[in-house]
Amino acid sequence: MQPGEWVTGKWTGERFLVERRLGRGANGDVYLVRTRLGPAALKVCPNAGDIALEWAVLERLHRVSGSFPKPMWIDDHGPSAFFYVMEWIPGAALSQVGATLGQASVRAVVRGLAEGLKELHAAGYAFCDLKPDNLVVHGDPPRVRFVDAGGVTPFGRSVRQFTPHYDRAFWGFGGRVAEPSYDVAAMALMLTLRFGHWTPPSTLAGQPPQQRQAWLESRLRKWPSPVRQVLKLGLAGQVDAAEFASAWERAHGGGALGSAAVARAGRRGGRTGVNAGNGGNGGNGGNGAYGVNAGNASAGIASPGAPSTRRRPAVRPASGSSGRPAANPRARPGRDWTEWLMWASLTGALLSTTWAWMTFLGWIP
Amino acid sequence: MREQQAVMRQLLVITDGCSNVGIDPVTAAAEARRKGVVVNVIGVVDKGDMGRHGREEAMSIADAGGGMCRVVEPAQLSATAQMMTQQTMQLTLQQVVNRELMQVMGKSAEDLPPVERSRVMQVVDKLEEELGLRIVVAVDTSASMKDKMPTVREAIRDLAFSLQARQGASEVAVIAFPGSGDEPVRVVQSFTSRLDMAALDGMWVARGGTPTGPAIERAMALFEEVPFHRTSEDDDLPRAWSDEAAAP
Repeated sequence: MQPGEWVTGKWTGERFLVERRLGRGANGDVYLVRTRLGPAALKVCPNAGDIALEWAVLERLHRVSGSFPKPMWIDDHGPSAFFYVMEWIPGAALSQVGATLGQASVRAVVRGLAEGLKELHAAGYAFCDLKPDNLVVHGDPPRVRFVDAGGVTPFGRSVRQFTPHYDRAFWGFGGRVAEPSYDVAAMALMLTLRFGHWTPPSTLAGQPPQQRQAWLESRLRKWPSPVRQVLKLGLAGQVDAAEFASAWERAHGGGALGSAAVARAGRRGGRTGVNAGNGGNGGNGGNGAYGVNAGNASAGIASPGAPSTRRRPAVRPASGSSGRPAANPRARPGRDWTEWLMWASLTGALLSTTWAWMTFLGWIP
Repeated sequence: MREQQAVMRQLLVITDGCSNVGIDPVTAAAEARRKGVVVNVIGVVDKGDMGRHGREEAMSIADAGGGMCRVVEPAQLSATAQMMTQQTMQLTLQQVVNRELMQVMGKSAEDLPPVERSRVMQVVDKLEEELGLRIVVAVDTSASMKDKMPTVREAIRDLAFSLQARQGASEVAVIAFPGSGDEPVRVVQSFTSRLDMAALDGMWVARGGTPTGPAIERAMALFEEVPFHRTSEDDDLPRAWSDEAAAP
């Protein structure tokens, strides 16, 4: 298809004027076209099957989630080009603008992404090929929309379309079955790699997953520890999309006390994570090596999960007046000591007041 | 005929040059295709090219074997292998469905209105996930492949790992050419649903020519020798899809 060309649908008779190419997908090209209903995006592909399947997915999904483009027409262009037309989503791909976003914008992106995934997961589908190229942001605060439904797969099936750097199995964090945790891991990977700003070296392709994890760990260490904890929870599939987003929010400053508690949990968890990484290296590459590594990895990364659940009661008092994390066992001897001092000074004050009154009233000469 | 369709059989050749020993690989690939095995070829090049001859031969093997050919850098090997495996399954099934549609309705899926076509494709998609699949990966272990072996190993591991996630039964076998010593081809790992990485570690680079043709022949023999551990539900699948696909 060339800009300026008119495309007439074989079945619907609709006419579309091609304006320019918007991008290149995994299996076809997307063009901006003018239709009788205004501008729209047209995806064309030489494989009738891919187009028909994506269309079916979009038909189902745009009803349950506003994050997907609305499908408009499906048709053929000649004998060997198959296309569908959908709502055009203006904006920039996250792969282009991701690295320039400020902290508040990234938080909005994480929130929006979690919302979209929640709706998608509720409908029984995983996005699977979640990556910065497949997300478009626009507006301020930025709103996120999904633009490529080619990887969307019903839960329980195998993941058919993925990008290694955003694929948890590449890093040895779990299997390639479509399930909610697969998407959450991809989300955590996107954030870890700063929306593609950090590119893993191509030499990782020749290394087993344990060594790839070591590289990822080096990137994770560049994040402040509370954030790192949240990323690790996401990678290990310990949280769902909504929990991930709220943990991300907390890690970027809930109350002052809250973030201090998160930082404590983070320090504790950070050590655990590194140790677990070493443990993973020890795992041998025998039969079903992936399973073994994934087990080690998730066990190691999962352990910070415990502090994170303990973290919650510590965050709550931030709104009240007593800011002390009561769960900390080391606090107990301290409280005994202050209690003692308090009672002693109270008794002292009471005694001296009594003495003063008695003197004043003349009971004591 | 039905038995052949219930399990899909593919051969994936990973090489970086021209064959120079034994039977012509294009002839061997044509024979494989005749027996219902699709032959895909990945040329793996590290900075540079596999040469015009190598490239042309790779194309011809894939053409004769009814499959695809891609020339990629090592880093893309894993993704390419999986994409090819999956697309080959999809295409094979589409051909079968089209043949059935032709018999039943006198038209192919492309002749159907897009909305109905979309329904047929969803059936194809479901089948693709559930059908039994057997793949032989034939790896060129000639001297020039030395630096690429770790990547090849990881790509095979990754492919097997992806196949494990499928709902249908899948088996992978790995053969190396040239083998060690006198044998032109060595079976590194016979058909298995869970790949033994320790066996792949023994896939060292050997001295000798590049017997691509004999490797294709050996793969075909392996398909015959080792029976497929088919689960009972796979047997009913072809009937199931022809019913569903025919339903409007």
